[in-house]
Amino acid sequence: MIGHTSSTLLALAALCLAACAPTPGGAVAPTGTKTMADHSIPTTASDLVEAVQLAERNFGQASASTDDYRLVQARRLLAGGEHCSGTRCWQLTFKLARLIPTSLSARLGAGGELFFTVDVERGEAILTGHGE
Amino acid sequence: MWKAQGLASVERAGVTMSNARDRRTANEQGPGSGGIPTGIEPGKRTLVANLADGVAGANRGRTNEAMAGRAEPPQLRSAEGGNTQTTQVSAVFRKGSTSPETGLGGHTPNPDAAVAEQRVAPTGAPTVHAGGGNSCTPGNEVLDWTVVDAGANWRADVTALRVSGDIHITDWPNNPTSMTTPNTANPVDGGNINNTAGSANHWQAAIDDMADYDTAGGGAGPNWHSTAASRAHEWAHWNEDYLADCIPAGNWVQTNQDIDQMTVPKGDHADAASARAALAPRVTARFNLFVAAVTRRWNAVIASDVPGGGGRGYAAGTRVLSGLIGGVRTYATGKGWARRPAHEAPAPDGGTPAPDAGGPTGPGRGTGE
Repeated sequence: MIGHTSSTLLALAALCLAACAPTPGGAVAPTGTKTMADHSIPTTASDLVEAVQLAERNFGQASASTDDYRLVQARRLLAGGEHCSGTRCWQLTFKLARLIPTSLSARLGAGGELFFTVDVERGEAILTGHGE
Repeated sequence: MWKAQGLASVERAGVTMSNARDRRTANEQGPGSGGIPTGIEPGKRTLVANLADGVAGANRGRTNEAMAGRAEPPQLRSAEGGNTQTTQVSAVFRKGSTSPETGLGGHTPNPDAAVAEQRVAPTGAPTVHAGGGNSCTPGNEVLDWTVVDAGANWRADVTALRVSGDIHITDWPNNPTSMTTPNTANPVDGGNINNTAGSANHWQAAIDDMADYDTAGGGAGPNWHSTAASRAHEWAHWNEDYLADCIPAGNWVQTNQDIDQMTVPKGDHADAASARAALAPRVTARFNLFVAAVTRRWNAVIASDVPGGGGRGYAAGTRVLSGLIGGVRTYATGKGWARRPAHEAPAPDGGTPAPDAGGPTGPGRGTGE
């Protein structure tokens, strides 16, 4: 479980590094466009990592093991919704690893998803359903 | 006209088959089949389930088959049937019908077996596994073909397109007289639906959980669902997404015709074995184009198959759950707990869910199966 979590976090960290890389030629992004939100809202990576960790700690709700699943989709619920207390909520979809093809010429398996809604501010992850 | 050659494959497999697990009724195959697929001729279409394929793919890789992506083995199909017993499950799509008529029978001689240059229908069935979640994954198609005498030439002749796959269906908890969740709704006195505020068994909580099945982030459960809905969902993937959409999208009819038109001159090949070896690379290459096209279509369909995404699987499951929801609401209304919303029309029979929906069945009886 730890190993899988670590690999997920590494992947997310890689995404962050790519997103935060300097622009070609070393140009510095303009700073005048910063808003209060830039300071008050955690970065995407840190927020998403926390959400994934919360969800993985709650796989027991589905009697499932994190070793058998992979994160395949993350969506931030900006307008809130059920099980959300604020805007730091994520809808996460994990899928059975055996249904994910290892090449583009192989076939995807239909179904096998776990749907979580994660409220990062509350530290809660709720299993909302299973994909078929 | 289809050349239903599936039995030839069964006989060559040289095994005795059982239909114990794969015996299914039309209802079990899921409501609706998606109609006559485009790209396939309308009219009677017979799919013969090759039950030998259902044994964990044990028959894949026979030496006389062209496995997708692999070279064709240089062997001729044996003309001898061998000592076998066959049992077939057939699903017949009649003209204008969207649902297959299924039936069990013994060995049915194929009247078209000796007729060349006819397109063959896909034959075979997925292996159905109990447990392991709910999923459907078609395997790569397998081609059977032979070499026939065509005057001055030897000609390739498709004899079967064999399909297989894996369907997993996991029983949803079904405790008809227990006020517990997860569960399958059994809205009767002594059942598992109540009017207790805050209870997971509250009638409105059960309705809400089933009603969000085909909405974003919804899906099955977490508290209320039914095995019948899962079964309908997975068979919709097989019958509607795979057989009725992806196989035609791969253009099987054209593939069959293209392969049947491949020839080599007898002047260059003294016998059928030599001709087959010469034809095999072309046959395999053409067939692999078909398999790749089916894969592209399947992956495109399934990648967008999410709750609320308009997929056929969720639509099939919703039809089952609608019956259960109707049953819960009727019960709650009858008990004076709920008023029927004006926008909700009563079920045709006054509110009793359709038989396939699985409820209500009374205390102590299972629902939805």
